[in-house]
Amino acid sequence: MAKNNGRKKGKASLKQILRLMILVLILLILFTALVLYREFGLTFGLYRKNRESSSQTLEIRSRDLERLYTAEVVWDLVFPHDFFPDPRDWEIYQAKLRTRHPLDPEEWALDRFRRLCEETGFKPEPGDTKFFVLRVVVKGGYDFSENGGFTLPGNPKALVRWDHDTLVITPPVVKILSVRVEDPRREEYKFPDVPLSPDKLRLITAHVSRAAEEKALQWGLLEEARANGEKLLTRMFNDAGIDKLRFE
Amino acid sequence: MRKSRPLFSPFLLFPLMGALFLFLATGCTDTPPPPPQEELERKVRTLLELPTYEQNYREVIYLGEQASFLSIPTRDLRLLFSLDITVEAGIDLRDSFRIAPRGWQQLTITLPEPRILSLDADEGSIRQYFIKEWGLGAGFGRLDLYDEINAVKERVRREAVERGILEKARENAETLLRQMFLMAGFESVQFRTER
Repeated sequence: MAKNNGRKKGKASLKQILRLMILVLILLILFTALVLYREFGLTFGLYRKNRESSSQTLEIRSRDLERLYTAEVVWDLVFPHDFFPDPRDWEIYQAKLRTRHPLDPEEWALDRFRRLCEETGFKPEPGDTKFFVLRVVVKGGYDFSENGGFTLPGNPKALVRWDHDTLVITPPVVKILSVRVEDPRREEYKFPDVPLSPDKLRLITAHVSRAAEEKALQWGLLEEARANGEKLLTRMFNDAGIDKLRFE
Repeated sequence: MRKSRPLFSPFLLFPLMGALFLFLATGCTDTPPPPPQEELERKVRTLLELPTYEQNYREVIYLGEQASFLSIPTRDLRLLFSLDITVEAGIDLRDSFRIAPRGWQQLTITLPEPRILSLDADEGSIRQYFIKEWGLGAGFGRLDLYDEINAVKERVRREAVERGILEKARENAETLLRQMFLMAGFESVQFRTER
């Protein structure tokens, strides 16, 4: 009886050793497969992946433009880190939220930023390791199509008129005419990708574009655009043989 | 007598190891911290561009990705969205732009070839119809979206050129400059294109 029990026990432990060996073998195979997949992309048909994409034009619109871009601001920034407030301001804002105190305009801006982060899957606090780098280009200059067309003959707000022997140039008011977020290319982008749906991308782009307009104004885009525009118009009319010019 | 139970059941182990394999294979890496501020640039640059014609393409884009391990579905991503691609064409006045008087009240303006000055996806126009992100691994990444958007942009660029955006831009640039100089009293303005 005891012998039988011993044999049974021996068989059981042999079975366990066998199972363990099978397990080790499977793990070894999986590890080798993993290495082959990682290093050489070989999958042996175990892992299949299928990607598809398609696109189609729904509508085309076109229009004439009468613009002159004379300056641009290029802003490279890290989202969301470049929007993080001073830690003290953040604490005051959070305390006000807890105690339901009314917020001042800057705190409302913080509130909008916090909500944006929550909606798009980012943490509005330093220490969050999710980020992406993006470039925003803001262009400023003249839009000659304003006021019924600056170059239309007979328009009282025409671009140029003669005052005795002086050509008076009245250019349109310089404005921000274009704000665009550059579309990154995978082969040129140096940082890790972040998960982002098109809807979230739209929300972030709107926030960043507004901030970029403010930055461009702070950095003197319009002053530079006006100076460059006047320089160009002066050069054009000088080259045409008109030396006496005046800007109004 | 109590039946001895095996330490690891192969039926339980297989899916577990498969999942482990997939988890490792699909990649799960730590995100490095963002680049320091000094690496990033800020610039105000001079620009002399005369955009005179714009085309706007409303594009619908579908992206899908399905994956399986031993024929068991492990990942299913589907996304449909639309957005506008804007193409601006015109003249870059920094390239060979010259004005020369030609006799009494006459001018000759030399313009460079018109070109596409900007080809950009307008993220503000995005409309997301649906998104499905199921299974192992991350969902759609920002670069996944731009991979497709950039491919669409190349098609749009070709189509815009085929539809005559450059000819129209040249025509409009000449009209704008001609009107400007006619208003200044010139009687005739001729154009030449520097190739």
